[in-house]
Amino acid sequence: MRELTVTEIEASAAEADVPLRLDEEAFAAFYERTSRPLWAYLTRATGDRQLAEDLLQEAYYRLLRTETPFEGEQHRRHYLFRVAINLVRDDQRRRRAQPVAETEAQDLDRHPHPWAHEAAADRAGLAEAMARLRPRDRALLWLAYAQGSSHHEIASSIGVKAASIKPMLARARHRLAGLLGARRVRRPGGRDA
Amino acid sequence: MRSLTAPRPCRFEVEVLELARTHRWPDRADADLRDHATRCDACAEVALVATALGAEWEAAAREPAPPNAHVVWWRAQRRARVEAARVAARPASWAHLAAIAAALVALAWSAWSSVGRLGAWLSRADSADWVVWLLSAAEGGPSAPSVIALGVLAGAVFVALVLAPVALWLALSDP
Repeated sequence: MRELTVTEIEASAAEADVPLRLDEEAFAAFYERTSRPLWAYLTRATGDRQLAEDLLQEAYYRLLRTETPFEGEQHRRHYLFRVAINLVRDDQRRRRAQPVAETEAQDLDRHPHPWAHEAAADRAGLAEAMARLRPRDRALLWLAYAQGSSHHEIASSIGVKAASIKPMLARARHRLAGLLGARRVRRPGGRDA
Repeated sequence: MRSLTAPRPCRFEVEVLELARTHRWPDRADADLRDHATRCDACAEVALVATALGAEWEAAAREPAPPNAHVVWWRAQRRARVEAARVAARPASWAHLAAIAAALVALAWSAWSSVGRLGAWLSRADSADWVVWLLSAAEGGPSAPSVIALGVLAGAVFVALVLAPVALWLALSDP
């Protein structure tokens, strides 16, 4: 079937009724409360500000268009984070699926160092270690130790049972500590972080 | 060699985490707790990871802000309108496709029946009849299928073979 041209769509779009889940004022208030932590997560998870901005836009768009009935602010916030975490994971899967040469070129160009777009030495070490973790482990650790979310909040954002968070977090933390510790041992005259 | 499994949970983890989060680890921690952490893998890991990620969180707070709420709202609104218009246009496109398909079937049926009649006439005619027919057709005589009918047939065949595929291609291709 022939797709409509952008001009045709935009002409008819001006007339279209498009209900979003929040009005502009409510959205702006919610955005002010949630965009900073989400932005911090996305810039680190992607290592690319432009990509982070695209994913931020996509996450809020999906929130505005979802049919999910929210029980309150917290529920909406957890939903937003879950969408963002899934978007990051999907993006990384997509990049892994690309041909090796293209992925390498892109990694050097667009993603010079995931999690470390402006890293000092210790932050680069953290970035390097985080980049070697699985996306879900990264999200878990970020929510728990950067944002300070509770196990219940993490469970809602990740989409698993709250009882599973403690062992999952312990395993992820163990992996990260191992990577950070190994890096410190490798570093000449290494000091503890 | 480092163990692959996480260490057993420790009851002091929460305390270590709180101190790390509030920048009191290790300098302002109790000496006994610091001593414990040197021997407890769980507490050492909590201190290491919480300190590193806490510092990263604070660095994030000093970075440029995300895009403005109004920009994000405007983009979402615009995209929602475009998607709504696209969805609204979909039934019309299906109707166009159905109309084209119906027209093609009608043309094919018309061409097939005309070809059948022409074939029947040709099978009855010998070479002399052809000469008579050509002369008759040129003079507008009544003994052969009319030139108009043959023109319609040729037009139908042309439409079916040339114009219809082009129309279909235009209808189905992306802009």
